Amino acid sequence: MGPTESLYEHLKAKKTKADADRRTARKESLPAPDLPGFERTGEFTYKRVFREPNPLASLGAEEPLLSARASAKDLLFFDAETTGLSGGAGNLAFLLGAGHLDGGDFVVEQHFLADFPGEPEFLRLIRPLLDPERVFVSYNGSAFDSHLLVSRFSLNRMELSFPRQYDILHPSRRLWKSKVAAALGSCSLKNVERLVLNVDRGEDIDGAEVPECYFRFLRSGDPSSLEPVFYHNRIDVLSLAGLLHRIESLLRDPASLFAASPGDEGLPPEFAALGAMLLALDPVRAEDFLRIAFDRGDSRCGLLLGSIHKRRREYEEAFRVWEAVFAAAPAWRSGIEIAMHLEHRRRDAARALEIVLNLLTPPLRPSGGALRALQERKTRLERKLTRG
Amino acid sequence: MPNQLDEILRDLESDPAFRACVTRRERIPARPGKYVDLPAALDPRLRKAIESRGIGRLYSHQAECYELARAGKNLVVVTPTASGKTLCYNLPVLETLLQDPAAKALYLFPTKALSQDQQSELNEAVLGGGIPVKVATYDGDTPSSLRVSLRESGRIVITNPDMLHTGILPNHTKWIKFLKSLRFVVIDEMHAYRGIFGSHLTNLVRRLKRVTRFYGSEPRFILCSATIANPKELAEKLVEEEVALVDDNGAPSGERHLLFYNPPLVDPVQGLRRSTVTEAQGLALKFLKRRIKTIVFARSRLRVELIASAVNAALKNLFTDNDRIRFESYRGGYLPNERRAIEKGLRTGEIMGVASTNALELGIDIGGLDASILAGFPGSIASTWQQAGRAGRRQTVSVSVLIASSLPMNQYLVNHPEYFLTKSPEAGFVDPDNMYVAVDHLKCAVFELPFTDAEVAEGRPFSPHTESLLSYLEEHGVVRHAGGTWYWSDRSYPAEQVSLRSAAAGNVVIVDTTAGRNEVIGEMDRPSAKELIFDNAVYLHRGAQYIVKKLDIENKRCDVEESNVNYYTDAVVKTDIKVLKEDETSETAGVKTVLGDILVRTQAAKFKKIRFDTHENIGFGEIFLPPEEMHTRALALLFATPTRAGEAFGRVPETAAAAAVGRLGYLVRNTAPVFLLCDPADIGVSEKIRDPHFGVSALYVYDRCPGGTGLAEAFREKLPEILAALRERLGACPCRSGCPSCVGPVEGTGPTDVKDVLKRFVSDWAG
Repeated sequence: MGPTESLYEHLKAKKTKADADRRTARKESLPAPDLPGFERTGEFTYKRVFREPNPLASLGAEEPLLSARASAKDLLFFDAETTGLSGGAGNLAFLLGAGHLDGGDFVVEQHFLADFPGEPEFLRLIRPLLDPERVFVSYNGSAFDSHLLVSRFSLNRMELSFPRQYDILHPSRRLWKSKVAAALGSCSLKNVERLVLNVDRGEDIDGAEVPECYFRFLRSGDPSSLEPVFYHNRIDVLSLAGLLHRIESLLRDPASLFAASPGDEGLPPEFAALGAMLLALDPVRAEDFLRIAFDRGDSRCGLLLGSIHKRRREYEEAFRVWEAVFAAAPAWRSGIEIAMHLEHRRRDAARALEIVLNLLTPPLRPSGGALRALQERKTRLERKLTRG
Repeated sequence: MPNQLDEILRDLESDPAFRACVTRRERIPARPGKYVDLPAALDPRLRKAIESRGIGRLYSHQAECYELARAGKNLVVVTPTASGKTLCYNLPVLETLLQDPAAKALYLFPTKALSQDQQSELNEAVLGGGIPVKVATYDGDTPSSLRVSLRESGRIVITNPDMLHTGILPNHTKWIKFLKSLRFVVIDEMHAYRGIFGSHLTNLVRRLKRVTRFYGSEPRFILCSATIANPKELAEKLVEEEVALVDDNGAPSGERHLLFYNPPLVDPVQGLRRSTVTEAQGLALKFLKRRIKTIVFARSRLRVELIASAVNAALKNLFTDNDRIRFESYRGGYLPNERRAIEKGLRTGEIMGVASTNALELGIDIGGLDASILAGFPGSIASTWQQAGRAGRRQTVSVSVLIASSLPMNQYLVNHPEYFLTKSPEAGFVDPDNMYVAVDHLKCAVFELPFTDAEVAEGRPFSPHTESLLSYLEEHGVVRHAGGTWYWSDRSYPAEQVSLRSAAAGNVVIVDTTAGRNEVIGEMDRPSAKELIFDNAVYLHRGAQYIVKKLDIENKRCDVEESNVNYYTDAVVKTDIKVLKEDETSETAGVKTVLGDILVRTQAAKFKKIRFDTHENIGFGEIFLPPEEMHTRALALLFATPTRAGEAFGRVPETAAAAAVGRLGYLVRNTAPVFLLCDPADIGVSEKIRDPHFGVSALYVYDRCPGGTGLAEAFREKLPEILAALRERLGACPCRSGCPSCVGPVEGTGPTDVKDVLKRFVSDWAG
């Protein structure tokens, strides 16, 4: 007998044994009828509900939120735990945590799938929660969780869509990335929550370990390996609400940042990020905020303020701001605005060229596209000067 | 320019020196085309579009393809160069897509370069004629910002097997709209899918079928192939369905001349001949100066560059702008846009000639050429025909000159052209159930869709072994059987761990740093880089000469500077084998065999400097690079007593033993692939007259794919049959003392009776 065939034979022999093992293993791994704390909702599905104090209480349930562009009662905070982190049709969601307002409470539901064959039932059970009328709030859900769930529904020949999402990862990155990076590392939900909300989860597993916990449970049937996952998921949903509250409060009362950071402690990097976010929502409030931040010495806010004036065609006002920004912290961004103003508004090519030459000298010299633009400007100014 | 070519053929004929070198001249007469009218039922929009391109009738084989496809049959069409291949599938596909606005088609090309070529051709056909069908190329170069819209709106998606494998199938839920109305799968350049690559493709097709079945579609397959011996069989192996064969070519062809040319002896005592490079460039110049479009194929990148620079140097004339004759070089490692520009230049006629490696052998469209010159025979008969076929017009005369090198196989062929002319081209084999390949794809398939017990029992589209393999995977914890279904239960993304081609180590980027420049001019795979662009190597790139300043393997970067020396460099490479692990020792077919893991170590330790014009060796240099190592599977045959083979080997005279083992290696290398159903390049054979590990004479047969793909195991399984074939070859070959068809040609040195010695040895061994 050839080796290929004998390998198949060998596999077959093993299979018989594996079959026997599996029969016993399957009995053991049959979902325990009582998963502690959970109620059973189907052959392989479980659910539990927590009523928590409402972290959004101070924002009101009806008033539209600046951040999510919907009122708090219409939000659904969600987070899925999955069998893989790389996407693709072979990964499924085995736990969905979803939080929403219910009267004065914040209700967190967790739905759990105890084995693969229960997936269709699991999806049917979570379907009503994933109501497309709601705004879905998540951390990286717009790129991952929502895609994965849509894919699972498709595979089970059901429809699902996420028409409106507010992915807190994006504003969090803008506001806190550099701070988190300096203090804790990656801009994960856990790190942001610790730095911004001052919450310490205590013992919590790393998200990357979640799939292995689930596979361990599948093999052993012992739900204790899942305890940390259930905890992790529940805290994630609560944190989402906490972070939304923080972002919304900042947008509603940006000046509160100044109170929180006395001037002599250096400038929190979120000033400029918050200014830019406000600018898209409420230009008047944005201007007030940026002016104060600029007065306190934040040059990035100064740049934004300058651009507000420029957009309103208040060129002289913009120029004054940029000059002040440049004087406080010379950099090519403000420098180039000054040069543009001198060239086009004041028609003073000589002074503009002086600035440009200064910007082309290290350490101010930029790279890439900005450098090329500067060099073109230099050529043009020189031509103007020789002609003029 | 037919007269020019006739003229030059007459000139060559009347040149006694040239004539003396031609060992055979074969004239293939012109053949008229077989035409049929455009099908009456053809969609009027399509009719208008193709008529506007000047096509008023079809070749008979195009019409045959159209009818078969309309009848819902799978088909494979065998297409020589310039026979209107693309219309064979574009016609039925475009018509279906026009008549059913939801219908989709997938075009699969073996390489990225080919798919881009195809897209530009389709765009001409589709947009030029105002046909509202969106054609999209979806491959590794497609920007992610475009991908969503391509998936949504692409009607014809052009891609390659690698992208289908890692990008499309594992994410099929993003492709529902496309997959659920997939009507056609076109597999072009089918002959590329032989050996392991073919096994991978069969499994990919199985995966694709599972997914389309899930979404309720059942696409038909249209395959195209260059001339091979068994197109229908290969097509049916690849798609595992009945496939109709279309091989009656209706395209006309002009008269063709085939010249077998043996360069003159320069040293009759040592049997040294003028090099193929010198002869090819001389001949190319003759053609080019008469404005005959010429392609020169050479066996290595280096030779391509040498030929191109010599031709360009000879053409150089500032006053006449080289008579406006442009000659380029072409090979893997040029940047994609550089390659596209050369291909386009050849199509438009702006470029008169090109020197190329086999990179241009596959169906990249470069238009018709008048002359092809082969500087050395390529490895196989099929590629010889393909390269020769690059010259060939529908109406006018063309010529192919096959120049033999002094290698034994070349000398045999040039002296026995009938061997080449009468032998049918190689057959393509695949073994879809190669266990290693099958297991890898099964992982990907479970990831894509769970297997129900019913599907496993059905044994389709995956093999009858699926159940054993799945439970094997379950043992390894990556698959879970629950509720009558097998599920993927691992966090990994299996397609990422499975490469369809031999492991592609990261490429080295070649950077021109002359005078502070910092410009990427090309790239090269790592194993080749160690042998071609070591420190102080001369690197030729499109005729320009560079010297390597620093090869930084770790950072995958090679800095070069322009140079102007009178030599090129050639590395001397050594191969070593080290046994890592002996897994199974057994006696098979009368010989002791050891199956295990080996380390194959290749090292370039020094290089030769060779003068450009005379090709004489003018010095050596050292290379300081770590060896290239590959861990793979091997079967060692040990000729030790008390086995039958060992005893038979003991009777071989000591003086002939080394030659006998060496010749046995040659014979095995050339025979085994047929039984292993793999490409000859997939296996390595190494002979040891006294093996340092086992202490006896040994023959290693190893898998040239890192980690092995089951070829060593298969070799042991097939050993009785292979041994019988060896014996048969030795007995049946009519030659006296050895030729390429048996033990390899016998030169002056070494025992002359090696064939008889080997014949006795193998026959005693077989018992």
